[in-house]
Amino acid sequence: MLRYVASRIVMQVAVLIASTILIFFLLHLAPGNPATLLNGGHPPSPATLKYFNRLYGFDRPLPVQYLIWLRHLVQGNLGTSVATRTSVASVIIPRIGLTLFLTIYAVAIMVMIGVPLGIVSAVFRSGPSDFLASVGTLTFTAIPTYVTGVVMAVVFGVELQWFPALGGGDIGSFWTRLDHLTLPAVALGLSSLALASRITRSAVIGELEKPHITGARARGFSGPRVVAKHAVRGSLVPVVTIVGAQIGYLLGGAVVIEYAFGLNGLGSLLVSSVQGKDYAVVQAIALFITAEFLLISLVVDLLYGLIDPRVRLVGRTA
Amino acid sequence: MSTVAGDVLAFEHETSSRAAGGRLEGLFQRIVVVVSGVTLFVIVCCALFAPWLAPHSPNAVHLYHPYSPPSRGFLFGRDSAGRDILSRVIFGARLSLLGPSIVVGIAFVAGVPLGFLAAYRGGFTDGLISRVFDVVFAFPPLLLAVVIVATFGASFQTAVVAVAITYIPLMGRVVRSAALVERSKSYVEECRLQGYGAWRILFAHMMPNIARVLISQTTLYFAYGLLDLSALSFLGLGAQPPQIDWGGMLENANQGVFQSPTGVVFPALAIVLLVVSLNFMADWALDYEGRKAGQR
Repeated sequence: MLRYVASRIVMQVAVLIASTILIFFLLHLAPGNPATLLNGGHPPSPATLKYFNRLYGFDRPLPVQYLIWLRHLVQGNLGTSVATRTSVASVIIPRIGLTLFLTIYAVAIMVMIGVPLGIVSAVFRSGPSDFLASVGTLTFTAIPTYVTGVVMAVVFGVELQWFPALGGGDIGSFWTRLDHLTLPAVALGLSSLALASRITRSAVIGELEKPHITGARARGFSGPRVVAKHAVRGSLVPVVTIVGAQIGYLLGGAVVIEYAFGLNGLGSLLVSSVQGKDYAVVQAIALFITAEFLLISLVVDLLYGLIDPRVRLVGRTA
Repeated sequence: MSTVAGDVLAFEHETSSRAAGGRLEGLFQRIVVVVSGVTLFVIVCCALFAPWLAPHSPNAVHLYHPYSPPSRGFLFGRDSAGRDILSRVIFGARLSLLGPSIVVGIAFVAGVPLGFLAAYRGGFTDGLISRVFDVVFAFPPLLLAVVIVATFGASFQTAVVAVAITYIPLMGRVVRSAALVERSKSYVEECRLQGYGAWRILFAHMMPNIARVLISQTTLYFAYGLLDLSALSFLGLGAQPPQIDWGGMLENANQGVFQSPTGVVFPALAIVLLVVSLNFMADWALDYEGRKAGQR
């Protein structure tokens, strides 16, 4: 197990380093001069250029520039936001909480609705409930999240007044935040419902066809018990995998949802920074979200090893 | 060792043709497929014949009639600048279809050979290609697209290329996992013994066997590409006015949703109909594969 864990960590760190290289070189691929890009599209003054040279080493060869940039990155120095003229870290850190909250909330909704729906569909396979579930979840996948968001804001926020239609409940307790983020999280979670329920459905069906289920049935265990204790447990691996992978999509989707609901998270900051050509902030947010995604993938891979012992053996032979 | 996303795709590919693919069965499925096909046909016709079908000019501004409700002359009502929403939905079909077409085109041309190569050569080539894919997979897809747009400036072209880049590894993975299955079959070994070159074996002999999977995946990616491009347009990072696409219309209508819900409803309906129809078509393509495999 230790070896499996170590190999996964090494792997993810390697990918993380590769992604920093990618983000670093994107800055140099951009049309024009990187210093101009970082300066919001305007040619920098001599003083600004001097600052950029110190922070990024633009007067040095490219590989050296990357190492300088990486060193500052590790130290938490991500440059200066053109929009606020303060350090990028001070702009980003206050907004991390909301985005994390929103993403976790959406994942919880996706799992709590999608997995039971998938199990029910598998058990009553090809019945009317299966059909309704698949068409219903497919429709939610097809509706862009921001449209679901707008419709829910109008219906549940303005007409029925069950939940706040706008804002993230930035000042207030955990419950205020939960209240404010319910509509955005539901809009986000519903978009991934189809994937969660379909994967659960096919995994459970695959499991139900296996001999150990027939064996359990033959020994006289009741239908619900067979499903709950034997089929669902065996189908956990793909379900955990899909949830982990889907978090990446939800992190991307959160950008759009935050923008639609006017939430002060990383996503809406990303959009306004792209529109305002605040490149240092864009870079930093991209790195942060990517690191977060890699961390989640790592956790999922490790869970995978816990659930299914065979996975660990694969790690040994590789 | 592959990433989570790759495993999911491999899993989906493996199971969808037998378990999940049976979403619909028999006569009912045929009806759904026909309805989907007709929907696609109507949308494609809208894109092709927009100038003849649209009752008004899509960019004709009538500032005295913002958000007017549906009427006989303006069946879907008017938007914030008094433009005819029906005409804009019809014209919007052009970029909304063109964008995803280019996305899947690029993903296909780059992803299929890479996936084939990785599966066929194995070893170092496979490792290299898979690691490059891993790096792209490390970014949440929409995020990577946004960063690329931030680097090169917001436009329809940039958005399309940015989204396409996120689909290349997806396509590559699916092709790789499908080709790996084929490669282990004896006919590939026989071809090799006869001295056929790698590309001839790949394209002339293996390709037909995974064609259904490819068609099904391409159809799905078209649908998801449309959703991604619409999201970029919604954020103001895709097609720029006066270009018209459904995502951009939604962004424009979002602000006036209380004055006129039709501005949100109709472009959204167009997106949903297209995506759902494509999904059913993709299912149908895979099901066919399943039936064929069953007969063999």
